[in-house]
Amino acid sequence: MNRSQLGADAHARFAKKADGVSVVYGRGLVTKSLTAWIGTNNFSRDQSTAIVPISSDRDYLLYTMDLGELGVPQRGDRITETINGVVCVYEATPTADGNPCWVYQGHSQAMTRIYTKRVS
Amino acid sequence: MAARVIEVADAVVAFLQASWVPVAPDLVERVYGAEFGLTVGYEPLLAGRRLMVYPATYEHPNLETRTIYRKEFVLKVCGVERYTGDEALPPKEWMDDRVEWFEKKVFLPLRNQNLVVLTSLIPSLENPATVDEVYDIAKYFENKTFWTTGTFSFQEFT
Repeated sequence: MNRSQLGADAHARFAKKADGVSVVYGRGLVTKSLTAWIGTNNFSRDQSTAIVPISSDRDYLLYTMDLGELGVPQRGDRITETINGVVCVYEATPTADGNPCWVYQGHSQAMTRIYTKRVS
Repeated sequence: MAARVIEVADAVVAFLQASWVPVAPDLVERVYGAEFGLTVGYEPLLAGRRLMVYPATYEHPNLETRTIYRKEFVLKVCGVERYTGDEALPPKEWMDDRVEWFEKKVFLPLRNQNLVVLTSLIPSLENPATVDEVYDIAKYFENKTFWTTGTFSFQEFT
């Protein structure tokens, strides 16, 4: 890891501590408790016809190394977060423009952004 | 007295209610526009299977003979259901069931040339019914939802 990567790594860790929330990351029966950083959180709507579906979108930033043996995120991975006392489950979902459900954040790949939609 | 195209849409809704017989939360309704959540967190959240009928276009009367005019009314019928299981994508069998349901409960009954929706109103001979999308692939991948739309034209001779 070169100095640039070390700097990005330190920045990522600082960001995580500063704004992170506790979540449980799950894939099948495998779960991991870790800290995530909330990215965007909004509703998206498709108003191409008279019937307008709306979905709740939420991006999570995770420290890439925290995923450990799970490797890169996969469609259907679930992130459980307690928000205002309510247990909310979000599922990794590809984006509307056809991109995968995750992307590395920054050139160092120290952080991973996961695109999710709430399922319960 | 409502516009004729609205009467046609209401008649199609009544026909679909009788032929499909939805049980709550399943629903068939006429809409101008409908908004609903496909993911938890937005209310109202889509529940059950829903058919929505809305008018698309209608044509000015065309002269059929020297004394008979032909009007044409075009409706859209949208069928939607949200997958609530645990799979990362709706299973093939689940989608197959919905595709079959739309074909058997909506498409085939509404394209039946013997159908008389209202007095003197029959499925169009020139513009037969079409399913515009057997399923919307974006909503399948993004929202785990079955979403299909059909176009149905009806003729009236006056």
